[in-house]
Amino acid sequence: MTKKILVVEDDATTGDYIAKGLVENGYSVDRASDGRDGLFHALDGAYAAVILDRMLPGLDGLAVLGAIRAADVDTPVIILSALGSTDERVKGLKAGSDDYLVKPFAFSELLARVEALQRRGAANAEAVVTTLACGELSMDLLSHRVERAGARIDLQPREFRLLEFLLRNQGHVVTRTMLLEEVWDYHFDPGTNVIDVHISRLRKKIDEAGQAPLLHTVRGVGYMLSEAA
Amino acid sequence: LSRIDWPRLKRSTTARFVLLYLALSLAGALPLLFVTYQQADRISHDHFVAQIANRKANLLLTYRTGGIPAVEQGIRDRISSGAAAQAALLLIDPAGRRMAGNVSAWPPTVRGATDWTEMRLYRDGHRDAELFALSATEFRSGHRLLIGTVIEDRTRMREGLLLALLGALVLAIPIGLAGSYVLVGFMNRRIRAVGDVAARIAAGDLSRRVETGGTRDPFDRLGDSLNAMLARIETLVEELRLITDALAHDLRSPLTRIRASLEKAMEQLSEEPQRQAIDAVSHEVEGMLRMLAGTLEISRAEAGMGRENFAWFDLGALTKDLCEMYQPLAEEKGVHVAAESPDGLSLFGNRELVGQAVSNLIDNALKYAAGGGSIRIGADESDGSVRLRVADRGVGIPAGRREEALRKYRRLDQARGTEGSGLGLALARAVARLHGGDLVLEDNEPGLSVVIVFPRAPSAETPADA
Repeated sequence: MTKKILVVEDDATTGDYIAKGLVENGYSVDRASDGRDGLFHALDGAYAAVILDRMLPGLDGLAVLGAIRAADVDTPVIILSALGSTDERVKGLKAGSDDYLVKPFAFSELLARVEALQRRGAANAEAVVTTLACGELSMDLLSHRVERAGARIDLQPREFRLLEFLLRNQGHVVTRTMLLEEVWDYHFDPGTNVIDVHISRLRKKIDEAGQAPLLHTVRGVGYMLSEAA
Repeated sequence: LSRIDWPRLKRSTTARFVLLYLALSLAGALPLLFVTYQQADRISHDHFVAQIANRKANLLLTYRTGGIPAVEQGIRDRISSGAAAQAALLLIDPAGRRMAGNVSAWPPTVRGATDWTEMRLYRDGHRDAELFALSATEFRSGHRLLIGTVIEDRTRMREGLLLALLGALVLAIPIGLAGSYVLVGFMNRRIRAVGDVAARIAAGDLSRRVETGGTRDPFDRLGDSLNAMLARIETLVEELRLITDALAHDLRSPLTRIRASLEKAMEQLSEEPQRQAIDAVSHEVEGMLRMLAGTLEISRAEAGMGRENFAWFDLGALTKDLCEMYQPLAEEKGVHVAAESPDGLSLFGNRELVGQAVSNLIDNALKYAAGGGSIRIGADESDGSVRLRVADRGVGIPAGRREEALRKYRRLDQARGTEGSGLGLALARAVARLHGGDLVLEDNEPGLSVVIVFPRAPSAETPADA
């Protein structure tokens, strides 16, 4: 069954851009162009995710979000906003959204986030996971032990969290911004290639010479941990 | 008293005002005292002159009726009756011999007839010389008459008067000082009220206004003009901010579309040279988007937005976190980064914005001080303020160019070759000011030390419900 996504966006161009991209990636899309209509659809609860514009005619995006959460509907919500400052993001996240993306954004960033939310939802439904693995790489979340092909790998605490996040999202692209938010808990742009250097350090530890690379760079978007090249 | 800062006191307007007021009040009092002295002196003078004139008139009347012998007798009578106790009398014949009187000899300095002269004379029966006002008369026969009255009293009166006036002057100094202190204190209070508002405005709170009482006095009118000026500035700044924000905002959409198109193009290209070219363009577009985001962030902070998310957070932990975040990048550049902050140093503010400011400062230090050995990040608390420092060992910024370095988009010559938007320091300063603090550039000898000074306690302006 294809997953349904609700896009609440009053700007037709942006709405088309998002809907077209989602359909190309195998989702089906419902659209609403104002707050009331969006809330009416969202309360149905059958969506895999809601993409909600922050500023809407009729009912403001944060008000819609508040009403959705008040009605005990826990569909993942990604807020889209032209208000890009860090404290606006924090406000959006505090209001109960699962993610916050600043307009204008690259579609690949939105897609990576929608998919990450799907996986998070699925993971929550499963039993508690104590080990994560990708190919010959394994991570024990209880003993904090990481091995590749039986050889132990020593990781710094932050490297451990970075690898854990990549493992939980293996096979999918994660963007630099997602890493910064999830692993470091910052919502600002640290500039230059701070994250890239952390990744290349981690890569040196887990992908030794002669072994098939697991940590891949997806040019222009971010990174992906997977067995296949 | 040794703790008073004299050079500073000398420069202080308050001190100058007090002294000027004192000088003016003394200058006003002096002519008054002078005139008082003159008048009092003249009254006593007239009194003595009248006495002598009276005595002289009586003796001359005696001369007209009885000639020299009558005058001689008159003098003897006056002396023996005691009527001349306060007088000096002397009659001499043309040869200069004393005929009658209580003064032994004619004073040699008095020659012809004089009207009024002051002189010390010895009288019979008096051990000390006394001061007299004298009048001399010469008769046609060659006899001469000296009539005088003691004016020791007048001298004493003069001295007393001078003493009293000096006393008044001495008394006027503390009274003048106290008066001017009160007056200056009153003016200072009113001026300080205006100054406080100006300071709040300098800190970015353009909505502040001076309180005016509607009395139309000069202070009120100063306040009114200031308020009118502020309203105008606020409108202009708001307009400017709207324009730059709108511009930055509108530029982001086409740039993002360019980035999306580049992404698509990248997917379809397989040859490496083309992919590299596209990559380079993407990189530039990223840089432009970052610059626009920085601009918007600065104007928000300058407009005072972000205060509603103020909360207590651990500043020490934040510096250590960011130090760890930049460690790998720094090591790659051969720079050592270390954070030294006490545990549990908390700050009331916006964690995200402060984090961004610090990360910009570290980023700058890495760019401009690459190969400079080490970067030290530290926070400490003293005297009610929290100082957050990012210090490098690079080339630094000469003292004369530091203000320039803080301006938006401004990049000093030495930085032109490197990548960057020129917004890092400007954003850090805007964040510092949003928190009621400021950013200072200091010499790290060698290198640059950027210090953000935060007030420790939340200021009264911070909304309590934040």
